[in-house]
Formats: sequence, structure tokens, C-alpha cells
Amino acid sequence: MSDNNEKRNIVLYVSHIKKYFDISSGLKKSKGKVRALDDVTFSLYEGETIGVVGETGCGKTTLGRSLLRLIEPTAGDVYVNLPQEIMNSIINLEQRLNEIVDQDNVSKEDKNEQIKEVLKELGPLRKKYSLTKIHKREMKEYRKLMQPVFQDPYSSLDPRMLVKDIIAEPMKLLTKMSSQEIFKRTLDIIQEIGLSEDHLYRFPHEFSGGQRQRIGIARSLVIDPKVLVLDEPTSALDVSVQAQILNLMRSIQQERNISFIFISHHLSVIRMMADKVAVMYLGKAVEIAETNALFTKMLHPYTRALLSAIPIPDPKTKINRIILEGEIPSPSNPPNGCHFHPRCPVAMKNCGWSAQDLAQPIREMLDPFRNPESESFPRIIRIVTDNDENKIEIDFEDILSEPQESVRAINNLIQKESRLKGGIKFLAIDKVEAISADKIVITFIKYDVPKLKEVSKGHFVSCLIYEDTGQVKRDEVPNAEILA
Amino acid sequence: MIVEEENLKKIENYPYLSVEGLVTQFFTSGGIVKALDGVSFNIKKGEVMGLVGESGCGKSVTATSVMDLIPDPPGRIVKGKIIIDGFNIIGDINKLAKIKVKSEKNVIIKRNRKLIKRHNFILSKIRGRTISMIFQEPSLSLNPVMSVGKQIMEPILLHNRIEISNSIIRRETITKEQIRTFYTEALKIKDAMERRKYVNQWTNMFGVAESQDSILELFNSQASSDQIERDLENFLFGEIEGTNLRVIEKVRDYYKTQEELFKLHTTLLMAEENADSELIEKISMEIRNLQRKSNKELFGFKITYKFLRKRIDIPYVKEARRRALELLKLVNIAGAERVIDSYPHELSGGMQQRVMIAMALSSKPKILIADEPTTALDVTTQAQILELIKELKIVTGTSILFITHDLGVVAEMCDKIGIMYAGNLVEEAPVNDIFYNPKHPYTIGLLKSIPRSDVKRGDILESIPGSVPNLITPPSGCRFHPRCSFKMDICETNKPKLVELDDNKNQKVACFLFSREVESSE
Repeated sequence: MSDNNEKRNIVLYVSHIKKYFDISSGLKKSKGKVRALDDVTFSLYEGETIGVVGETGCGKTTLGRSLLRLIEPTAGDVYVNLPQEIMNSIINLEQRLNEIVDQDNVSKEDKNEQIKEVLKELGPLRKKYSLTKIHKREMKEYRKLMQPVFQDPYSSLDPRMLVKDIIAEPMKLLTKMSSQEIFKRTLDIIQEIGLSEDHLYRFPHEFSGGQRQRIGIARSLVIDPKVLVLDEPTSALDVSVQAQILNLMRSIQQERNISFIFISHHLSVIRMMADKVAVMYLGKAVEIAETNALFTKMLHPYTRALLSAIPIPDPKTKINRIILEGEIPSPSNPPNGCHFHPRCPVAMKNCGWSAQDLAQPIREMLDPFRNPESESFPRIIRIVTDNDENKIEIDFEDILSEPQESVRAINNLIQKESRLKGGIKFLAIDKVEAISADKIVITFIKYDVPKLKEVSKGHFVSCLIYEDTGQVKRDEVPNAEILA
Repeated sequence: MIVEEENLKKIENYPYLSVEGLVTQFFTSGGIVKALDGVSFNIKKGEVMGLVGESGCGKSVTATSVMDLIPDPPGRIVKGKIIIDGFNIIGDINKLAKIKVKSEKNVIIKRNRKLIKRHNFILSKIRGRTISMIFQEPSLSLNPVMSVGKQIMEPILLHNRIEISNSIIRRETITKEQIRTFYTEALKIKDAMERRKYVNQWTNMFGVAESQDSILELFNSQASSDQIERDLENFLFGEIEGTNLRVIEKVRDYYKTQEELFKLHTTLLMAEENADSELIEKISMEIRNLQRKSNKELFGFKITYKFLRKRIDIPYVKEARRRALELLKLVNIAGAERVIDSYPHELSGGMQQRVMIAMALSSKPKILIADEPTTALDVTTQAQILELIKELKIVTGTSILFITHDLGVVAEMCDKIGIMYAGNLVEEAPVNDIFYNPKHPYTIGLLKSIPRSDVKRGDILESIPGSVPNLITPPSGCRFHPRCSFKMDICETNKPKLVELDDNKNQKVACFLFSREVESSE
């Protein structure tokens, strides 16, 4: 497979694409941002399929829509179907830029200078070729190259148009074909997707779900795009019909050498269809790998949990299921560091535990019913979390008689809690200090942010377990047997 | 001895739910939709049966028919038996309405109001108590303007009045003698688990289960017997807030007559089914007497209850709230004290589904119908909910009818599986037989068309040609024949019967490839 890649052309390159939605309320313009899509990078070869999987709200659909510029991405670049030399030089420049930004041991001025240097070259290229930078008028050319197939075949076809008009519409809008040519092409395509000529003169409501999805695919295919963005194309269909549609899409891909971006939450479908898979969690790609590698040697704990959660249609296979606790957090206020750490079974102390995660556990820790030792403290008025400075302040009602003694007591409690199940978060506490007679401040160690790194060839993962941060040794990972 | 053993075996194999020849139709302006066409199955105690099929094959209609929740108009159960715990809930189905079919699009239905009223009265005592249901879309089936706690309390208040009244009365009339015997008994038990069990029983009986832990601690604290007695009295009498025992007794009486009426009506229904005229007369007489008596005695109370319901219900609501909290903890909701007062929109999909399950379990039903309980959820949440249902099955011992289109889920959850196609059960067998030895062509096609995780890229999925037929004009004979690759001539004209295989008595198939038996059409 990898040998072929060198010969094949890269047809799509997506670099650091982001989409933040504003939360607006009344007069105040912006209350915050929902990071629906946060820094996703990947490339796609000709005739290749990338599968995008994840739970609801992880940004799969936003990714598809941003690529097509159906919604305006906040940042990032998308390059599609460029001459190979230009594409290669762009990729090189983008990667160099990325390396410079990632450097740790360089001063800020040096960094800025280097960035400027690269941008001098990259800037004009971006302006000329990046889909997110070019003018809307020029998008028309690129629309021919990338087409969507939508999830719900019941709402994505205009109920008042005949099938022949639905299929002809992209040709009318984007090409200069004559009406005879258009009709001939429509006829060809309807036969290719397995319907017949008399179906052209019907309305969408006369078709079943599977047939409608076929029409939707025909509409996208009719202008010979290079890339097809399939947003959950079969999730509204029954299994037996789903199989028909999947087979159809596969044969289309083989005949026309189209690249697919296949978005789905159904992992078995992805395994069948995709060459490589991107697993997303809260707007970030946490693991990108070739399909077989991902399904046999998954590295990220989230991928592992996700794969183990699929029910296998075989009563004799028993899976060791990792059941994740809790729910997906809100993308408007994602956890610090690695977004997955509050639910992660193998989280380490530097995975991003911070004030917002520990406010509640510390409150519980100081509850005299849970820990009788904390009875000696005066009543707590409030526990304040400071997310910006990453610290927790505990205000007591009375003055602490012996602040140092209290600090020691709290330290002991923290040690005790850290030994309990799920106590890893308490290890992230750096210091407990009494800054005044009735106030104790808890500060945290610096957390690390995982980056998408290539672990083995073509296998990218964003997890601190596979990075050497110097804070935690490899053999100190808790519950490491889960990853074995 | 032998006879007893045989009886035991009978009880074990005694089906909690048995459905026989169920026919449900929808009379629409476009024609009659023959949604169910003679469906039969049994579910034994503690068994989980899965119903699988594509959309529009009648899975959900089966579930709603079993609960008798088919919306009328347009739908009606036309024929069949649904026997829940020995009682046929639709025994009077033919008398409820006269259906005259003039043509497909012109059907006249004459309903008998009085009998429908009686039917609904009987069903209201069965639904939610012996049989309850978890619905597909939790966000749509919870009431958005009521807090989830109130919604869970509703079925508790509806079905457990007598029990709650009894515990309140017992608590209010407790004597010092009883308290003394209780704690001397409890102190005698040395085993911690046994003692906990005993205390739990006692506190439940007196409706003070929330002080169970404090009582246990009291026993462990080595306090003097005087001290214990005083504290126990505090626990019990701390509850008194001017509860009027007479009113509570009246409430209990009212619900007791309702219960008796329900029992009489069910016997009457069974008698009518058997056409036992003597018994019918006798029971009707009893019902009339009971109604007259209750009208006479409870007339005043009914009016008071109507106006002062909120006031009278205070002690009941308190107890129901405690039970609701217990249920929320049973379904593993974190922070149950907070969740009980929140509204459905504040909860995530998985939490909403947990609330639905708590509600379904509120009256300890014998049969639970789960209609696609995880379809609207993500895989990781689905894994959580499936694990929960499995645990609850072991704890409560209910039988479950599990409806889903995901074959992976049934493989994991169910003991036996029924495959449905176009309103018919085409195959019914234990899980292993369905997956490793499927017989019906549709089952085979369905199994082959799922993208399994072991199917590699490049493999072509086998699919069933065509799509599910329109049930207004279903195909003649075997409804699967237009899509079947083994079609014979007989398939077009006759409908195969669901019969046991010769070599495997557990596996039933409706296909002429295996048996020539034809289903008789009346």
C-alpha cells in the first residue's frame, strides 16, 4: 500500500482547519466559543477513502461542511486537486511552518522571524490555492471538484423537482453543457447507479430511502468530482439496503478513482469502506491510521473504548469492554490538556487535570462525612476556582488556628485520596499554601497538551502515553494493562 | 414428590408473556395496512427475547400491541391472544368494536363505548405494573414540563397506594412493645448482613427506609437499651406532621375497592371468554354490589379527595419521592439528589434513557418491553445502557422483550431471537442457532448484509435485492417470496406456518423449504 502512495497523487490536503462557533446572547456579542472543530490536519490520495468516526458532537459533520466551505471555517487551509509540484511544495511549506511553531527551545523572536520567512513563500500560495482563502466567486470552479452526499435522503432532495432536474442541476449551474448533453449525461448516470430511464420522470416521494440515496449519489457524481464528502450516507437506511448502497459506492470508486471522505459513527461500515481512519473526539483528531492498523493495533485509549463498545453480531465472542464513565463534555468549555482525560481509564497526572476538574473532588474530600479528619477545620464558606490562573481557593469562616498544621492535614488527605480509585487527579496537585489566616490556595503542576505525532509509519496518535514529556515515566501509567 | 417436581418444572417453563396469532391492522384512507399478520411467541420467566427486522416489519407494532397501546383510530388489534401472566388482556377484543369491511378504503368501525371503558380500566391496572415499556426516543417520551422526579413518582403513586398506606398506618400506630421486640430481635442477630436484611425489612414495612443506616449505626454503637429505644422513637415519630390516619385509611379503602373491582372484572372477562353463564351472572352481581357499597360509603370521601387531593397526598408523595430516589440510584445516575429535581432537557441522552428505565421498573414489572432503547444513543453510551439492562435483569429477574434492528445488540443481550419480516415472524430460535445455523432465507440474507467488524476492505457485502414491501398490498403467500432466491411455486399461493424443525425442537422456521405446513387462513 505504501509503495503505491508514492506514485499516487495527493488530491486533497487539509491543514489545521478550525471552526469555532460564537455563543452570542443579547447585547453582548460573544459569550464564548464552541470549538466544534479544533485543528485537524490530514491528506488524501487519489482513489483513497478516509473514514471519520466519533460520537455525536465530536465535529465530524462540521469537518465535512468546512471542507466544502458550506460553513466558513475560522482558520486553516484546504487544498484540492493541484498540480503535483505545487501540492508538494505547499505540503512541505506547511509542514515546515508546523515544525517551527512546535519548537520549544527557541526564543520567541527567532520563532517569529522563521515563521515570517516561511510565510513569505507560503502566503501567496495560500491566497491563490487555499479554498478557505480564495474569493467566493472562484469557489465555483472548486465545487466541481468536491461534492457532498448528505445523511438524510428524505430531506436532501427537493420534493418539487423531477429526478431528471435534480440530477441535471449541478451541470446547469457549474458547467456550460448544452441541454442535449445534459440529458444524455443524466441518462448515463441514472443507469450507472442502478435505476432506469422511467425513474427520471418521477418525484422524490415516489422512491424508497435506498433509491433516494442513489439519486443523491447520482447528483453528486454527475459532474465528475475528484472528492466526495459522504456525511453518514447510510445511517438513515436499513441494513439490507445499506449493503446495496455501500457496494454501489465501492464500485463507483473503483471505476472512477474518486477519493472519499466517509463520515460515519458506524465503525464496522468504516472498517469495510475506508483505507485510513481518523478518530475524532471533541473537535480534535485523536488518532489517524490505516484501517487495519487502527482496528488491530489501536493506540489511543479513546479508540480502544470506542471499538470495544461496538456490539459484535456473534454470540460466542465475548469482548473485554471498556465502559467509559460519564458523558462527552461540552465543547464550549472543553477540559484542559488532553480533552479525553476526565473519562480516560489510563489518565496520568500531567494529562490536564486542573482547577475545573478538581473543585468538586476537593469539596467532597473536605466533607467531614467522607473524611472525619477534616472536622478540625472551620466551616468552609466557599471554594473558588480560578480557571485562568489554574488554582483553587478555599475560604474558611474562621481563622485557622495553626495554618501550617492545616496545610499538612490537607496534604495528608490529598495523599489518602490519591490512593483511592480514580485518585490520579489528586497527584496533579502541586502545592497547598495558606496565603492568609483564613484562606488556603491549591495550585497544580503544569499539564502537557498532547500533539498528533507519528508513532509508526502512517499511524498518528495524540496521547501523552506515547510522548516523552519528562513528567511521567512510561511504566508509571496507571491501569496500563488496559492498553496491552 | 415427583408430582411436586413436575409442578415446579411447569412453573419454571410457564410463559409470563405469550402471544398467539396476533393480527393488527391500520385502517387508513389509503387502504388497510396489514401490519401484523399472525404473530405468536412465548417469553418465559427471566428470559430475554429479541425481535429483529428492518424498519416497517412490525417490531414496534408488536410491542405496542402487547401493551395494547395501538392508536385507535386508525389502528386496531383484530384477532389474537395476548396472555400476560395467565390473563388474556384482549379477551374481549371482538366485542369492543364491530369492524365492517366494505372495501379496502371503506371500513366502518362501530365501537362499544361501555365495554371500551371497562377494557381501559382493566388495562390501566396492568400497564406499568405487570408489564412496562422503555421507549425508543427518550427525549420525546419524557414530559418536558415536569421534573423527572415527578414523572417517576407518577406510576409509583398510581400502583402502590395500598402498600404505602399500610406502611404509613403501621408507622403511626406503632406501640412501644413493637419497638422493643424489634430492637431486641435485631440485637440478637450477630451477622452484619443478616442484621442489615432484617432492619431493611422492618424499615420498609414502616416506611422509614431512609433512616435504615442511622438505625444500623445505632445498633453498632453499643448504646444502652433506653438510649436505643428513645432514638428509635425519634426516627419513627419524627415523621408525624399531623397526618390524619382516618383519611389515610379512607384512601386505602378507596384503592382497595378499585383493586377488588379490577380482580372481579378480570374474572368476569375470563368467564365471558369461556362462556360460563353462571359465573358471569354471579360476578356481575358482585360487581354491582361492590359498586353500590363503595358509592354509599366512600361518596363523601371521593368529593373531599377531589378537592383536597394535594393535601391528602403529602405523605404519599413523600414516600414516592423516596422510592424514586432509590430507583435513580438503582440505574446508576450520578448525583441522584440533584437529578430528581431537574427537567428532561437538562439531562443528556444517556441519562434520559436511565430515567426512562427507572420509570419502567418503578412497580417491579414481570415483563419489560424495550423498544429500541439504544438506537438514539452513541456507541459508548449504548454500551453503558446495555450493561445496565443486563445488571437489572439479574437483580430484578424480569423477562424482557428486546426490540432492535442491531444484530450486534441482540447477540449480546438475548437468549432467543425472533426475526420479523413484513408483519410475520419468519424464524424463532436460540441466539446461537440464529447466528450459526440460520434457516430462513431472509435471516441468512440479513446476517450476510451486516458490515461485521471482521469484513475487510475489498470484500463485497451480500445484500438482499429489492426493498420491504408496502403492507397495504402485501405479496400473496409468503410475504418474502419476491425477494427470495429460493422461491418455489407454492410460495406465491400459500403462507408457510411457523413450525419446529425436525432436528432441533427449539428452532422454528416459517418456510416451505423446511416444512410443507400451510398456515390456515380463516
